[in-house]
Amino acid sequence: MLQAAHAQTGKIYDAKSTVLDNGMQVIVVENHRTPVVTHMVWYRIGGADEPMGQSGLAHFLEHLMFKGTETVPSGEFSKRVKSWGGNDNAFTSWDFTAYFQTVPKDKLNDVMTMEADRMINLNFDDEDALTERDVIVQERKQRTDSNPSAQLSESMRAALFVNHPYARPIIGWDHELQKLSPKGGREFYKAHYGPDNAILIVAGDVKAEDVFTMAAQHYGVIETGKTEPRPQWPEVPFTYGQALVTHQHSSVQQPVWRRLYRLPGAKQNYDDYLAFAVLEDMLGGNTGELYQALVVDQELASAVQFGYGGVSIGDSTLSVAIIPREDITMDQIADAYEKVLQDFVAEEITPAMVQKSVSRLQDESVYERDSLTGPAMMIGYQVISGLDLDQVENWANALAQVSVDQVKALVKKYLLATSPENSSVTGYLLPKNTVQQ
Amino acid sequence: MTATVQQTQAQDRVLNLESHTTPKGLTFWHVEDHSLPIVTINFAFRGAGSINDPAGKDGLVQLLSNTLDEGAGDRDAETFQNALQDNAIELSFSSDRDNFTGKLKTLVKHKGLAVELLRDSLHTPRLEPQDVDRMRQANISRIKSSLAQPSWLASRIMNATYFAGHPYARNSGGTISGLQAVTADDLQNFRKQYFTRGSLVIGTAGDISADDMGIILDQIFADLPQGNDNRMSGNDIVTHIIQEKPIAYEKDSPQSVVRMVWPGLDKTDPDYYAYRVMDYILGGGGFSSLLMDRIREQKGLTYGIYSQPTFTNFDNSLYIDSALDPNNIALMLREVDAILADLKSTPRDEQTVADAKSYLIGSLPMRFSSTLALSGTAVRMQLDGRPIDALDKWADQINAVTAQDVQDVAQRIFAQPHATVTVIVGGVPSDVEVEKLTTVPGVE
Repeated sequence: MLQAAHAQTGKIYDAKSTVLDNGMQVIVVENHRTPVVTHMVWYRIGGADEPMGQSGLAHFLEHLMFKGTETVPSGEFSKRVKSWGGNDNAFTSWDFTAYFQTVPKDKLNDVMTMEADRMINLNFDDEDALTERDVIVQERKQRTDSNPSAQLSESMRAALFVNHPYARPIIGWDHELQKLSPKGGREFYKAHYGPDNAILIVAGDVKAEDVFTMAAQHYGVIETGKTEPRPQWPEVPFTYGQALVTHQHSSVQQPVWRRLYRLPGAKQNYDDYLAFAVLEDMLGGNTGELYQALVVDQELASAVQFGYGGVSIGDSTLSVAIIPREDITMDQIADAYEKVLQDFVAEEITPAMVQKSVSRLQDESVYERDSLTGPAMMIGYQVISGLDLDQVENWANALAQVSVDQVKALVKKYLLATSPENSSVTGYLLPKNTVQQ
Repeated sequence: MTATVQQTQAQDRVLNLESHTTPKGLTFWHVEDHSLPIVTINFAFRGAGSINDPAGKDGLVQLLSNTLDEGAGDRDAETFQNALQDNAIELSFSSDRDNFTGKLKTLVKHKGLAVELLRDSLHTPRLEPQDVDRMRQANISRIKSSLAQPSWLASRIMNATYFAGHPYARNSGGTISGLQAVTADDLQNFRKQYFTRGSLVIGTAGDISADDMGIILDQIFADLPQGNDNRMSGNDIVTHIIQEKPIAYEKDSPQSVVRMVWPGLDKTDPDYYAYRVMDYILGGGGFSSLLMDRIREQKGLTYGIYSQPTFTNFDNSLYIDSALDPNNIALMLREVDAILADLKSTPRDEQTVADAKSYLIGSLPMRFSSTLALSGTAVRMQLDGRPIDALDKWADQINAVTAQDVQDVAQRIFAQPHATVTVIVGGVPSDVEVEKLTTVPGVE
């Protein structure tokens, strides 16, 4: 039945959607393969919305959401989910904060009760919050400060998004993170958590109508209109010169050449968003132009990555990483990379080549449904970034409209060194005391 | 709609897993599931893992797993990769110490081509020198990149120490000099010797009947030589020597990774189910675990601390892993000692044991939410020597575990006062007596 619906409509997920009286959107993806359900609440508030000087606050609050309400004491939320045979977690981005649980389907009502409770009744104590801040300090050390590659990513992003909150690390700058206060967390929560600022997504062995009814009982009764609008983000200005971040670290033995571009996000330019998916397919991966040229033909590199960030409310990113072979310089890599882009624009690309990529991406979209949590995740990312559900569902169909000219135009407009709208940062990850070429 | 996975009530199957035999006599476990037009095949050549890497050629098996899809039959590497890519066929091979494994995922409409590509990669891989060399370079880069990762270094040092004297002490991903010594002929010879029907294990799933799958499997595998089951050939069970002081490797890092290990139990041990419940209570259960509650939630010393049992042909062990400031390591080690002492001396309360059992039983269906997970489970169970109804009996066997069983198995595992081996990578604590290591074994 699922398969038939998909074949007829070309919709990727065949999701059902409604909006509760208080403005909370509810999306359901039915999947009857296992007697399990994933329940997610996404808030339209994230790291890019933090007050200046309080970087890491949205993520701190994400941790504090597990620190108790009147009816669910600190630490109990996850323990209860576990005791039902479930798993839960949460994640924060620049644009959003999301909470999810995967539980046996007869526990959906119970997780909904607890998630709705902490949407309005969070009540943690200061000592508990400060211990949690210590945990996040360790999280930063583990994820970033012990990882030279993550350090370079953080610095490149800071250089790329000049004047914009996307420049801040989600986990926070160390000195600001160390000073985050329980009071700040409470204020951020009161200002931004509420049903009108949230999306509910449920995927699994449930009927959409039943979920809508249950959601109305738990979330629909919460008073609306109490959240503040998210802050207006400043724009990235034109900046002079070409940014290069060089990071030398004693742990590094394998150099990496990187480039990070700033590009329109899906909401800003949906046509470009579609074309970037095709470009990513044609240039990236082990059959793409970059691998063929740099790894196979010229033997300059041992691996390449070329990935479009896709959805985001503000500008998106495209990230390139190339691992040079021994004795190959960063300049040789940069020149060879630029040449691939130039050739891509100059050489004849047939509609059949684009069609091949499109058809493969369409085939792969069937795999999107071969998962319980995956569809909820993908829908959440896209809807929270401002796409509507129809766009999400029809992505694979819409790809068919992408033309050769459109794909080439992206390279000409954004990626070439001479492109009018090239906004990018180059990064070198190098062993300590490398002599610059 | 096909309900592949049933709720775990009495008499119901957890998974509609069935054993079949192909027309040409291959055994396979299959889960028929028509919810999506997808077919998956997982397989393993049992015993064909990196444990067989010849001396001085560490990485041979790893390199073979990377090169099999670089051209086969009448397709060169680029043509072969394009055939996969253009038809959304996902084919990959990998190896660990024990086994050589592969998996194939395809849409039903591309099934014929997918079968042809897998068949060719096993029977007539090209293994051209330039393709082997490209994969060799990628592996050497991977090793060099890994040297910047404290957790990778901790595992490497742990393996070299804990398994000293056994082939498991070697680097299963290869060494730089070992990878450089491997030739295309070495790869072909290994394939011919180890890819045998006698060692083959198959699990399949998806939108296809068992009869149709049997025909496909014969096309792929039936012509392999019979050969042997190489599972336990020529090696012994690991014997461990207790390392009194932690091994420390210093690195420029604000944090240290700490990895500890104790000899554990295998899946046929009478205490196996109690062992799983005990592990969950100790450190497998995330925020519900004793380690996370005490060391993260109450003390804020770390972002995470976990326990994890491992099961391999020649060794079964229990690991505890964490990352924290070097000046908190002494405190953390004392806390772990105290938690283990308490686990041995005091029975857990009934609720704790009931919650652990409830998770271990209730979470079982969550493992089966993708087609590859179904076929992957079918292979794993066979590699582990589990009966086909093992999943159906899981709930009853977990339910039978008592608080006393948990305490007993804790006494058995943690008989020694400290871990058998403790490895610290990163900042070295000044208040813990350590044995310093200056080079990482099994890299060059």
